[in-house]
Amino acid sequence: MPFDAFAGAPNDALLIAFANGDAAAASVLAQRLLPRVYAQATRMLGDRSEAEDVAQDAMMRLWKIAPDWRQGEAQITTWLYRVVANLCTDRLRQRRPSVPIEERDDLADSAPSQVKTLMLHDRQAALQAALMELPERQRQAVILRHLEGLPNPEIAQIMDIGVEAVESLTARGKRSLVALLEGRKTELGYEDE
Amino acid sequence: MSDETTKLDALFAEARGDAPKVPDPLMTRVLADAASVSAAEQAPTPQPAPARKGRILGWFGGWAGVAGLSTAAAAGVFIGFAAPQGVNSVAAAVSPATSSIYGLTAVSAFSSDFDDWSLDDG
Repeated sequence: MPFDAFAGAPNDALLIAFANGDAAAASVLAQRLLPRVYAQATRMLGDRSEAEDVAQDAMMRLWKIAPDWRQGEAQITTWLYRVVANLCTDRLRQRRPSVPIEERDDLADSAPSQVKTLMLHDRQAALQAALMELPERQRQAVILRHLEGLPNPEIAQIMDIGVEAVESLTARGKRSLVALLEGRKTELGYEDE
Repeated sequence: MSDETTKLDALFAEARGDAPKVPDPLMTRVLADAASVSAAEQAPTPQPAPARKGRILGWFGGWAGVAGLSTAAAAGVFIGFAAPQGVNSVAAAVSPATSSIYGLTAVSAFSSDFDDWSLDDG
């Protein structure tokens, strides 16, 4: 089937089309889902190289489960976020004490051309650095709620906890972030305020 | 809502608009993975080769063929060793050494004495 024919198709219909051998369906799914998967992994791990491995692994699991996917039982995005969360948790457990994020150059563009871009990158680098200092569960909840924009019930499903626990994790995470960012006003461009 | 929380929310909004971009090589690898999984799924499942015992049985027509062959072999051995008289009488009945048909004296097919070939005077 041509690529455009799948433009408005739901994810599970695309996955079934892929399971039936339609390569265009896989391409549409990858365009839709890989950015979310990669963003979640990058923010959880703070390392693009590791995030690429996790994203590829998560997508591979999606391709492999396609023939057994039961339409309507679960949302593919929820399932995928959960796979990424688990893969990131495994990585973080194996990881040795990490290099502070501000000392890495892999998160920032190496050749920013404008001051605005520099400031944006500084702010985002500061946010990422602060996120990496949160406990893993808080970081996961904050990323899913405030950066991926998911509703609390879906986050509860992904993290396999109750909605109240999600609310508690995100509230504590935000409080911690405010405190952590207080010391980074220069990167945030808030020093004049 | 405190001023700091408002700033944090603004930072989150900015981050949502500045999500990490998927590197092209990653997209290429992911699509290659999809193609390889799809190819493996669509490929016909190879039929397992029959076991060696099964192949040998096949040459003789399966168990029924082997059973028939064994019975025939056993019967041959039995006839060869245990019942020569019977074999002779059967041979004599089928091809008597001196029978006369239409005035000709037949010679046993088993006889090598071609001198016995003669015309019957009667």
